[in-house]
Amino acid sequence: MNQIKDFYNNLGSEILRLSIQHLELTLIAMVIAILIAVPLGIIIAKTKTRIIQSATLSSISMVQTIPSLALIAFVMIIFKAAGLHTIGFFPGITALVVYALLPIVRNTYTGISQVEPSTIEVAKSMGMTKTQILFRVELPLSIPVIMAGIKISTTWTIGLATLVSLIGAGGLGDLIFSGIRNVRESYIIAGAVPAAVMALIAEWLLGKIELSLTPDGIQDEALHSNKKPRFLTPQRKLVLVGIGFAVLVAFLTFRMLPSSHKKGIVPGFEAEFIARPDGLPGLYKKYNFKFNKKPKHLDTGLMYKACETGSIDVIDGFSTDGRIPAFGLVALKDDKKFFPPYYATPLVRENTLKKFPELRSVIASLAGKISETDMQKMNYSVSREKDPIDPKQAAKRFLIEKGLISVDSEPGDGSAGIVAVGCKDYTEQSIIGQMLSILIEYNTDLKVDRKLNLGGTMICFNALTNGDLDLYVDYTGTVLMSILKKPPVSSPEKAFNISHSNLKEKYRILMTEPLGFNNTYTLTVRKGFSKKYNVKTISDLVKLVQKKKN
Amino acid sequence: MPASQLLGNDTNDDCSGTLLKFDNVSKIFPNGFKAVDNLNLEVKRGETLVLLGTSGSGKTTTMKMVNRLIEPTSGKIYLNNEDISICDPIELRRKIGYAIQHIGLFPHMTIAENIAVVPKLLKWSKRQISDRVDELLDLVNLPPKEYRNRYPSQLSGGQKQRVGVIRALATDPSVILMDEPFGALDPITREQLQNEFLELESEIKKTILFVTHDIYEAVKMGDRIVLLDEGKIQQLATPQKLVENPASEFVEQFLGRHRFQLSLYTKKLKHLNIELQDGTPPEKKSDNHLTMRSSLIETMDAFKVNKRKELPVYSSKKILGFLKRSILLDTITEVLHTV
Ligand SMILES: Nc1ncnc2c1ncn2[C@@H]1O[C@H](COP(=O)(O)OP(=O)(O)O)[C@@H](O)[C@H]1O
Ligand SMILES: [Mg+2]
Repeated sequence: MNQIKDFYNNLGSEILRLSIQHLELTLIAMVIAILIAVPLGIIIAKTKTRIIQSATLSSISMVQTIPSLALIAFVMIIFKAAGLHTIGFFPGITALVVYALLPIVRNTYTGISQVEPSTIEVAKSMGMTKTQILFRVELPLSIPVIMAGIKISTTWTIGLATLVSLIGAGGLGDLIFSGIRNVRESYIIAGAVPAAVMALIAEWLLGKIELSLTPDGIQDEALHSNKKPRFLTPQRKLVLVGIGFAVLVAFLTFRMLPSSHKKGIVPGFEAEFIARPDGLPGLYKKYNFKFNKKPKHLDTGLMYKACETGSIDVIDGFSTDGRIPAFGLVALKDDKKFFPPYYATPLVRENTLKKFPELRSVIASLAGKISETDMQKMNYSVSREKDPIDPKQAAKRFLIEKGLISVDSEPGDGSAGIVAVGCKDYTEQSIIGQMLSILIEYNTDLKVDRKLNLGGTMICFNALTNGDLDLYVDYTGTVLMSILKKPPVSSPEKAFNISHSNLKEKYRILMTEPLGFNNTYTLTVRKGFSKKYNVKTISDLVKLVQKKKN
Repeated sequence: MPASQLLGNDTNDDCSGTLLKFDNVSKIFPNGFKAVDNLNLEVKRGETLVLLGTSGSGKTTTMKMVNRLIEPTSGKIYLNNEDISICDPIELRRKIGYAIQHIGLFPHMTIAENIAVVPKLLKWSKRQISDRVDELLDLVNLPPKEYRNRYPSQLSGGQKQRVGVIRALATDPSVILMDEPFGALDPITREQLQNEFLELESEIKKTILFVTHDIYEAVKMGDRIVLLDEGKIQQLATPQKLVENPASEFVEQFLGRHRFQLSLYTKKLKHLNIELQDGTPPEKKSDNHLTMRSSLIETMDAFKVNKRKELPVYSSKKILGFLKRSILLDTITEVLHTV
């Protein structure tokens, strides 16, 4: 409970930290984009060949039509092909820069080409060189248009910078996505509001910069106010702004260097794991350590890939997630038993067992039969992209493999009565729900009414208590904390016993023997990593982290 | 050889010397159009040579070849006896003043900055530039204090054009190219600026190549006039000769019904057999007093303004004699019959 409070108390400083990070992302991306786009705009404006002009402009416009998320993915693919890290600051900045180019290139091009040819001829006739014409005539006259492009681009970038949080580049997106995943509106607001405010301030500030860079002679207000010429002429201001940018970039680069050059173990976790008291903060306390590097925020979908490619060394994950074996990863043993046990256990109504006593032995036959590895494999076979099988098939295959039903046996005739079997709405639950149903159908004459994919714990449990369901499988941790609202208990036996007796007394529901696997948080590493450093448990990892520190 | 060595800033008073020479110059544009056709022309030091012709006759093309905004297809142009095609065009341009019809002031620069463009390119000192800007603004009656820091958009058309002209004079170049510099102004302002410029010109004695399509302006501004048509010279003569002795039918047609009026401009008192009489001098010399170089039209104007029967004709401060109005009118009647 205290940890949750801590986190909330830290929200203020977290918003500040992420806002600064967001600003860094935006600024660096914009500086790079301007340095690329303005010269590019000038070059295509100066090119006499029409084809080159339109080809350049339309290919940049095409980038703009790629949905921003797809662009981020595309950048990852390119980085991967180039053998670079696909996660973190650099791919993030790259995506932002690519997206920021168009408005600046287009407006620079427009600005330069709209300068009157007669004005340029006069400049030429006075003996200005091409460079002098560019810097003394064309650029000053194009500043309002170029700045308009930079303004648009900056606002876009501030928005898009929330998305690059998905590939671990940080920024306010960390808060927003954490909020979306955990359904915490406060986080979404805490991330979105500063981003919006930032966009407004940027707009205003750039308007000011534009005004001060625009030569008075082509500025309506200055002309009407008839003010004295200023000490800060546009040229001087341009120099000042340039120096400012340079200092800023140097400063930010300097700040980033140490962290990107430090060797060590790179952790990357989902935002939820980083935030939850029973996630990273609790883990640090229990094992009394801290990663040398600040964990990167990663989206679940990217996390496994990033760990596989080696951009990230340690990720969080659920122990039965099919992607662990699929991506060549291995879960570390929680040797200090920090993560609360979530053993899958069938819950059955006592009334049902009285009515159909034959159920007891059928359910018991599955006890302890399914290991984490078994569950990982089954989950993967159902959720993989390439030739997935359906949960029923996966369940049946497993039962045959374990000899719980035989290949050529037939289901019973269903004459003995009806039992309603339920499950929640995700892969693992569907497989287990099917497995119990098949087991009952093949080993009794009961008919099974499958009420699968129910939306969540409370729906399933309520259905069970009021008799709409006869049985479903839940997890010891869930029963203890979500249903019974008890504090977490780290001993699996204790957790089981408390849950068992409470369910029996209060709800007349029987918690039968667990199925074997424990679906809980786990730290996961590459198989190669595990072998190389001989890391099998979290304590092994802690030792390795501490060794690397010195 | 760099242009700076070719073009001394000190204007030699030797009016007979040739400063600018076109030698068999032709220009054929890439589309095959021959805009200038075998042009031979010498511009004398200190004179104002007007290129006159209808629109499209090749005046601008001729002028732009002098500062190499356009390169001739064949032939050579010499400035101070040096082939300009050998000069660095950038340096060449900095030594040649250029004023155009569309004024071409840079909208983002103040008046002072506009005038200072070429001096800055030539790396004059700040002091030097600032003094020169004030001097030039004074020259065209734009008080520096008030106008230095204004922007072009805060000036009237006439004021802008004045700035355009003095900008061409900024570095005291030995040649000034002017392409219809007063063309965009209303008739009253145009005349005012023409007069101002004539006065200015008599002080600074520059060699000027002046383009116009307006025969009155040509007659007024030019020491000599080149009448161009289809890129060829139709006649090269002083204004008076052009008006009085058209060399061809084309020239006659070009002058058309304006010849009488024009001759009032070209005929000066000294060209006419006018008897001067004795008389009483007025209390003070009037502003536009008559000299033997005054044209008939100026003389008529003076009578209209002064409302007297006779007016003194000066040679600098000395009165040569008095011109009677009746004698003037007789002379004009004669002219009417001869043209
Ligand atoms: N770059 C060009 N390409 C082709 N024709 C041109 C070009 N510039 C001018 N011309 C043609 O050359 C002729 C002379 O032009 P110009 O010297 O500008 O005439 P103007 O006497 O009116 O100043 C015109 O018929 C014009 O259309
Ligand atoms: Mg012209």
